[in-house]
Amino acid sequence: MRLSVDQVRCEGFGYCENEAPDLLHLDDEGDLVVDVEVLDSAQSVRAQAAARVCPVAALSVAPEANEDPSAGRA
Amino acid sequence: MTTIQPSSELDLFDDALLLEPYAAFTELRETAPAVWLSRYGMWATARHGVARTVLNDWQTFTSEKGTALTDAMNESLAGTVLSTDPPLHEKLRAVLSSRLAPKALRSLGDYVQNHADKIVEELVAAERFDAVAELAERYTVAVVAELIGVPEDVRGKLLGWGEASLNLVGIENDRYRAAFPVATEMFTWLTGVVTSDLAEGSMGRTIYNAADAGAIERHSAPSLLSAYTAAALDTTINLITGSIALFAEHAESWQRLRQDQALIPAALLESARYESPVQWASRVCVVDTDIEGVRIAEGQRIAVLLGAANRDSRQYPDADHFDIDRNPVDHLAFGYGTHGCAGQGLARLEATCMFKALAARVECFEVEGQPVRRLNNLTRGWDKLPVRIVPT
Repeated sequence: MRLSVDQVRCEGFGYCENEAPDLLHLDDEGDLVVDVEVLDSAQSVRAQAAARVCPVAALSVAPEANEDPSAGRA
Repeated sequence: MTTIQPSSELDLFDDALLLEPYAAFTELRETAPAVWLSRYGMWATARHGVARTVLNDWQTFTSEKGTALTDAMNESLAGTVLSTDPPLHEKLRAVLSSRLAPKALRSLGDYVQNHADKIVEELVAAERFDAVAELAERYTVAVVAELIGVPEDVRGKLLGWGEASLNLVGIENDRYRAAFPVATEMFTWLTGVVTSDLAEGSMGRTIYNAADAGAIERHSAPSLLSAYTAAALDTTINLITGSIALFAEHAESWQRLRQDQALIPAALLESARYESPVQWASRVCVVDTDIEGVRIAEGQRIAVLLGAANRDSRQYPDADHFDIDRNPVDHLAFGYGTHGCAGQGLARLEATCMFKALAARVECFEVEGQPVRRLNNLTRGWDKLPVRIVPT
C-alpha cells in the first residue's frame, strides 16, 4: 500500500502526524512530508487512521499497481 | 405524479425542533440513508457514513450551485469561498490557509491564553455571570476582531452581522427576513472597505493584500472577509457555551479535566460532536447517483445534517452519551473534505485556552435560573446561560 498526500488540499492541520508520527510529519515550514511511502501491513493500519482523521481528505492510502488490493488491511 | 421515497414531512426549522432536534434526527436516521424532506424539496442525511461520502465527493455533490437554501442567497453568494468547487475554491482558501495553520497559530498561543486568563479572573471574582455575553461572546469577539483587524467602530456590530449571515443561509422564514436589514448594513460597510481600513498584519489585511496583488479578484475580497468573520463568531461561541453547559451537567468529567488539562482537547472534540455548533451543510447533486440504494437525481439538493450524523450510533457506540474519553477524531462538527472548516485550528486554540483558564480557577459550574437557547437557521447554541461558579 502506498501513502500519498494531495499537497494542494493539505493545509498543515497535522492531525495525521498524531495518528502516524512514524509515517509523516510537518516540517519547519508547516508542509507535510511523507516519510514512509510504501507501507507494510502494520503501517497501513496507521496510515488509514491518519487518512481518516484528515479534515480535508488530503491523504490517501491505495494499493500499489501490482499489489493485491486487500493487502495491508487489518 | 410519483412521490419521492423515502420521504418525511418533518420541519427541521420549526422552533420546537431547533430546541430539541434529536428525536427527529433519530427518526430520519432510522428511515433511510437519505430522506426526501417534502417541505423543502431536498434530501437530508442523518447518517455519519453517508455524510462523509457526500462531503468528500465534491465532483458529484457540488457547492457551485450554492449551499444556501434560497435562490436569492445562492445568487448573492455565487463565486464565494463556500459556494465554489476546486480550482477556484482552492485559490480563495489559500489566501488565509497559512495564517490558520498550526505553525501560525502556535505564535498566537500566548496572546489567546492571556485573553482567556484575564476574562476568567474577572468572572471568577464576580461568581455569577451569563456565560454567553460575559464569557464566550466577549472573548471570541475580542480575539477574532483583533485577528481580522476590523476597525474599532464596527467591532460592536460583528455579532449581529455574523448571526444574520448564518440565518440567511437557511429557509425563508421569520429569522431569515429579520436578518435582511442587518445583513444589508454589513454589506454596505463591506463594499466601502479599503485595504488600509484593516489593521496591519491582520488576516483582513492579508485578504485585501492578496486582492491588490491579483492573487484573487478584487471583488472577492469583501465576501472573503465577511465569510471568515461570520464563520469565526457564533461557531466558536457555541462551542464554548455548549461545553460549559455540558461540564455543568457532567461534574465528574469537569473534575477530571481539572486534574489533567491534557484531557481538554479530546473533551472539546466530544462537546463539538455532542452538540454541533453548525447543524448542517448542503450540496447539489450534479449527476444521477445512488446513496446506498436511494436514487438521488441530478439537480436535487441534499442537506448533510452534521449534528445528526455526529449522533449516529453506527459510528459512535452509545452516541447519546457524553464521554470525554471518546476522542471522536472523525466527528463532522467542522465538516469534512474540501470545505472542511479552515478555521478549526483557531477554534480549537480559543476553546482550549478558555478551558485551561477555567480548569485552573473553577471548582465547578452551576447553571442557575433559566438558560435560553439562541434559535438560528444554521447553528445551535445558547442565548443566555446564567452560571454560578465555585472558585478553587
